[in-house]
Amino acid sequence: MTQAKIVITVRFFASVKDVAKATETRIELPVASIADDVLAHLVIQYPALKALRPYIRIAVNEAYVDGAFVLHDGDDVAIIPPVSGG
Amino acid sequence: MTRIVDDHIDVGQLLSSVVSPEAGGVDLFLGTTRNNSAGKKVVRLEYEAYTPMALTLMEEIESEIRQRWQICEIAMIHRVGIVPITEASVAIAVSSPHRKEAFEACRYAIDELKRRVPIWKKEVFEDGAVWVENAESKIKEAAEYEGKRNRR
Repeated sequence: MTQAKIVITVRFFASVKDVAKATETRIELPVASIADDVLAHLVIQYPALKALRPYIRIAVNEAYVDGAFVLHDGDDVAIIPPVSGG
Repeated sequence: MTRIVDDHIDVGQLLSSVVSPEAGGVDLFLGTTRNNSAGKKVVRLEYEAYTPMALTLMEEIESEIRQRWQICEIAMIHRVGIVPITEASVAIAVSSPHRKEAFEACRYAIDELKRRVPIWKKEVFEDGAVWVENAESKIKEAAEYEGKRNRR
């Protein structure tokens, strides 16, 4: 029997968007994956993200979450590099 | 009122939106684009936003201000896209019965906007470009704020 999966949408902005060369992607993760697992997955796909990782914040469905936040199928996950509004 | 626009910020309209018969003062902050950064000539600035979340967080800042200070009205506008040098990229106006509250609330609004609202600025130089990172947004105390946001 295959392990159950969830599919999430991941959005990229600013410096992260430049590294990923995309504004969004969809990734498949095991059920009960947490927000930090998304970053771990992305760092493998885009090694240049490793340098940015300590400062990246994650938002799920338009609200900041911490790394232990448990994801659900269909979640909208935004990778938020340090902001610079103003 | 919170808005994200992709053209000139109409400061007159912003000020009109905070007019109140209860107000004894209006504080206005404009963030304008500078022609230099760390000794380099800046040609232009480009802003991008995660618009729905940015608006939600600007509204959250407004509601924190209303809990903390006695103000009449507050309006916040951020511009995105290309912002030529000298033009306003952000404008905040606060009216209150007495000036102290308006000054303090306006200061809080711009400081918190720069710390947490998902908007990014790219400085374009003659020989390249860089995404700016606000120092206050890199502080890890964000965790305390994030913790209370977790809803599940």
